[in-house]
Amino acid sequence: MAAKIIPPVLRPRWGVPGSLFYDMTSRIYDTPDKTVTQNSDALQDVANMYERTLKTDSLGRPFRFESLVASTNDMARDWALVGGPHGALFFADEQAQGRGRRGRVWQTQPGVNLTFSLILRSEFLSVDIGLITLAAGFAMFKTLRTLFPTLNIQIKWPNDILIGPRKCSGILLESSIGADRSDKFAILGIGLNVNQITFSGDLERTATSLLLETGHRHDRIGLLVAFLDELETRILQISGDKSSFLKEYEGHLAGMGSAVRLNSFDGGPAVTGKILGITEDGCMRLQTLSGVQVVYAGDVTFEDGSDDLEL
Amino acid sequence: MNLDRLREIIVLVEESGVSEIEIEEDGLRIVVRKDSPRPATAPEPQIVAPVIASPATSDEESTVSDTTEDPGQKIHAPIVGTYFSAPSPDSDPFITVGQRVKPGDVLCIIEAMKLMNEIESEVSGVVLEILVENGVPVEFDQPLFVIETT
Repeated sequence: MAAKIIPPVLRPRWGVPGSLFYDMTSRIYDTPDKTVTQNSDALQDVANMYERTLKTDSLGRPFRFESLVASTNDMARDWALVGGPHGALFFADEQAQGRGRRGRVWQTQPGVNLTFSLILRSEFLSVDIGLITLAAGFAMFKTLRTLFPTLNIQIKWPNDILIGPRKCSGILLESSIGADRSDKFAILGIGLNVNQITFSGDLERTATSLLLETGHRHDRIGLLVAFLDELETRILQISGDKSSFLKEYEGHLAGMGSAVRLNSFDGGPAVTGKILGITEDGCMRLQTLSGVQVVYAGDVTFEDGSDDLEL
Repeated sequence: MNLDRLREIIVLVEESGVSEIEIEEDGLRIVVRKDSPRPATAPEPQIVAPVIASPATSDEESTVSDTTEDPGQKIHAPIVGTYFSAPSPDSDPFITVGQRVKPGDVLCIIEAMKLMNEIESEVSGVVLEILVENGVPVEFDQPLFVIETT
């Protein structure tokens, strides 16, 4: 099976937030071994529900819902390149080639999880886009913590969400820096395992979903709407009072005050030390044997004998 | 100096073993240098390094000497973070030495706080040198590449 043609699906008219129409010029994606399982009627119900319940001022509008794409980040990026506005949301019922950091695959089953991307334009943000990645992680934490107060939910720096030792949400930002050294736009891609029951390979050991943790199914759109509202609030918070945000963030950071190892990707050097906290820029401050070190990127693993938690 | 004379000089350089010739005539200075690919055996480093290190030569007619004597333009890191030479560990690098790039081409990714920043070229030219190793942290403004601009 070489390629599938996506059936006509729901898209908003650009520039008119929330207004929907059928677009017959759906793109063709090369997705071997994947089928479109969601018909557009069901997707329209999902989109209608989203539109009715969205509470934000600007985040998440306008929006595009598609049944199957290769990667929501790529779709949002294409949209941004042709003028997709700040706050625009691209939602996919299924992602065939969702990705995490450094080529890792973000596995999703059709119709059960949340996979979406937001366009962020720096001229609309009064904070450094780097801190947004922490705000997004914290917003996801807060959303889940509010809805599921009894679960042991923590943030793994910079923005993974763990329930117990397992990961249920991952966030990846992609942007480009051009000639004038300004951020043109960034794409914030978010995955949340909601109603997935089985994971394959290593994920069986390291991943979890809300259904697996709570024993029942959850409304994806309800979670999406709550998250966007929380994210809007957190972006406002870091635009004003960074230190109160960082304090809250540190309060729920997995491994705070204990020893961690930060592995670099692609074979770069690893750093080991005790987490002292987070800098104003969102970097991790580590107490290492050779003094305090500030780390900008890396893959956190915990040094208390537990398994490598990265997916 | 007329065009025929200039053509003669270019042919002379092309046919000879020398890589560069500088002629001053009636107050006009002409530098003709053979283009890439640079032979790997050429004693470039010894010549290149002092040129970069010493700003003393900048007293000369800077517009001419900049484009002719400078071995290439250094591209600096616009942000701090971890340097990645390829989109993923299994894929080919964005650029290799000898490759031609144009403005907007992606040169590398620098990651900070899981924000993957694609660094785009702002110049046209040929990649002469890649100064950093894949997967290592880079500082703000650290030189990443040398590109011979065209």
